[in-house]
Amino acid sequence: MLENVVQALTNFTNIWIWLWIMGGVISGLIIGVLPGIGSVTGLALFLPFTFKLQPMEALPLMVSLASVGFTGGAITAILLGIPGETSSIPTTFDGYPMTKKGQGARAIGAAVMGSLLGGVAAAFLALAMMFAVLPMVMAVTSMDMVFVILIGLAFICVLGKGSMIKGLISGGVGILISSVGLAVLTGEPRFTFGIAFLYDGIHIIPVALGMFAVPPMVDLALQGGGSTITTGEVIIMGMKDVWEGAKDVFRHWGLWLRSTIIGYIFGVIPGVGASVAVFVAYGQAKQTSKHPELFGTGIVEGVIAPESCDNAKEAGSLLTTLALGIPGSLTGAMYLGAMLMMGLIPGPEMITKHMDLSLTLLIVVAVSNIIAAGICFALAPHMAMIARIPGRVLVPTILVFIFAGCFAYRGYFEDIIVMVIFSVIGVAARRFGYNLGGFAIGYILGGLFENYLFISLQIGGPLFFLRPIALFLIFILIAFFTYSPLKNAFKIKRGEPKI
Amino acid sequence: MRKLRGSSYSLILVIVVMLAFIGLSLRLVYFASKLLPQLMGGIVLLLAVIALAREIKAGHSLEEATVTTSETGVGEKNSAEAGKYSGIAAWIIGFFLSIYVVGFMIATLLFVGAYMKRHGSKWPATVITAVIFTGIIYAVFNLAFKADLYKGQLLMWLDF
Repeated sequence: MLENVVQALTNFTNIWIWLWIMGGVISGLIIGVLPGIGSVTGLALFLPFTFKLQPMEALPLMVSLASVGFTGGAITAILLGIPGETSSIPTTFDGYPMTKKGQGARAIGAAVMGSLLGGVAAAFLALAMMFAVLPMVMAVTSMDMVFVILIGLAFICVLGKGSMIKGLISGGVGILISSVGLAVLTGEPRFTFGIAFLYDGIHIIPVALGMFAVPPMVDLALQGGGSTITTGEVIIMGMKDVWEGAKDVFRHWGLWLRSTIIGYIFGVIPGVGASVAVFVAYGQAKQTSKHPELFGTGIVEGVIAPESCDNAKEAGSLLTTLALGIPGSLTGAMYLGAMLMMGLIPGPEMITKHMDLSLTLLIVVAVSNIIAAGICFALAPHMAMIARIPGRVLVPTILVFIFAGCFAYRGYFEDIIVMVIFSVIGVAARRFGYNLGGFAIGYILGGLFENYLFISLQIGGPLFFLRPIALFLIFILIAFFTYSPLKNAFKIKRGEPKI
Repeated sequence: MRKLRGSSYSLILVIVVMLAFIGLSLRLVYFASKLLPQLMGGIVLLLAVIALAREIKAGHSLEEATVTTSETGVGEKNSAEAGKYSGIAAWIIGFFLSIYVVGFMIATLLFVGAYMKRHGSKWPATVITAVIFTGIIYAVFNLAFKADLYKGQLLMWLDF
């Protein structure tokens, strides 16, 4: 175990890993600042570039990009009142009023320090947890993995946005799409219609780009060709005020700690998502405050809570993805997709055979947060100007990158056709309230699920689930689906309104 | 006749696709090949039917409650929205077709330039951005990643 830690630390003596992290941090901050383009879109855009990279290059790039995207989102949320990411919305409640009161620099200082400490603390917590969960994960067999995947999928589909049924439909359709191509176990072509291109299955790159990169561009195009920022004022920030904001985090360390823990826990639970976590963190900050009436008028606690929570979530999500192979969030789904493309199977195998890589990635979360904080402290007002790039420039240039990336990965023109089809599906699915996260995770885990299911049937027969861990997981699954209806039934019986 | 909502149409589409999936999987030879599609297809089909029934039921109650709501306003809003989506779809399909015909480099130049100009950019900014961006695409994909971007049917017909 110690040798894995040493190996992980040794990886940081390589200059290239630092360059990939720097690339990821800068890209993450820019993507975070740009309204309408979130970390998930950023990761989908970078996915095709992984074809020339080694896992030790591509994964640090992706992890650092996603780890700091939220920090970039906070800058426009505070200085311009426009959240770069959905999860930065609560930051606008108090961050932007602080700017209007002339305390923008202090809010930036608090947001960046909160993000930095939240991200770093959660990364170390995840590192410690990695060793704690190791014996448990090693006890999980293929027969249990069937239910681990089902639980992960159920959490994501049910706890995600939209209705539970549509969430489950999305997950199921994702699994079905993954079944297109030659069946791994029999070699029989499924749903290929004699088209040779489909024998390899529908590749993740066109699916990810179509579902997650094109729809945000369509949304951006719907807003017209102008810049989302219309104000012309130049934001001047004094470093003294920035440091004052940074010190505020230490003054409110209890709030920071609670928000970090909330972010970490929400990150570990698959499917809950950053947008829910930050609202919970903001809510608890208001509830536990001595002056809750001031929230929304521009107080620093309203900035510290969501920002600490936001960055803490990423390490928790990464831990679940690495240890169980269940993505804690959509960014986790993108890591998972990249890992599978590189021949790495997240889950027990990942943290036993590739422990050093797993530890390295958790350290990358901490390192990238530190680098991002340095950049933001120095350049925050200039970074906010990036948000002034008008839609008429962003939409065509990013679309070209998406199309070129889609083609470059394998050199198949058919991949572009598949991407366009999935773009239509992605736009329609968002419009009609389907759960894209559920779809993505169903699609990515579908192949693994089928493999585990057949291995289990071959080893244990139809009653393969009669094992303590599998039965426990089935119990969780049943409890998860029956809790809410049973609670409602009891409430109706007692004459109370149902939830 | 009662009009269905877009979401209901999407569920009908899911039901049709699932029936096709199940039907096609029945033709598969091996049990191991057909188990997952049939199992998942069946579950999704069932869920989609339940969701559709719920939506239709909810639509009933909504209609009963808001009989007097003006349908013209909603119709106009929907058609305006559909018009916007069609416009964007036309840009994307246009770019896709231009890649097919003239290849990535020329299509990029044309697409970026045309989109910017159509959305109010001035000529110098449009031309400079389109040229620089085409250069960036060439540098990143062709030079740095050694990925030969699609050259287009036109160049192939002309034997380049």
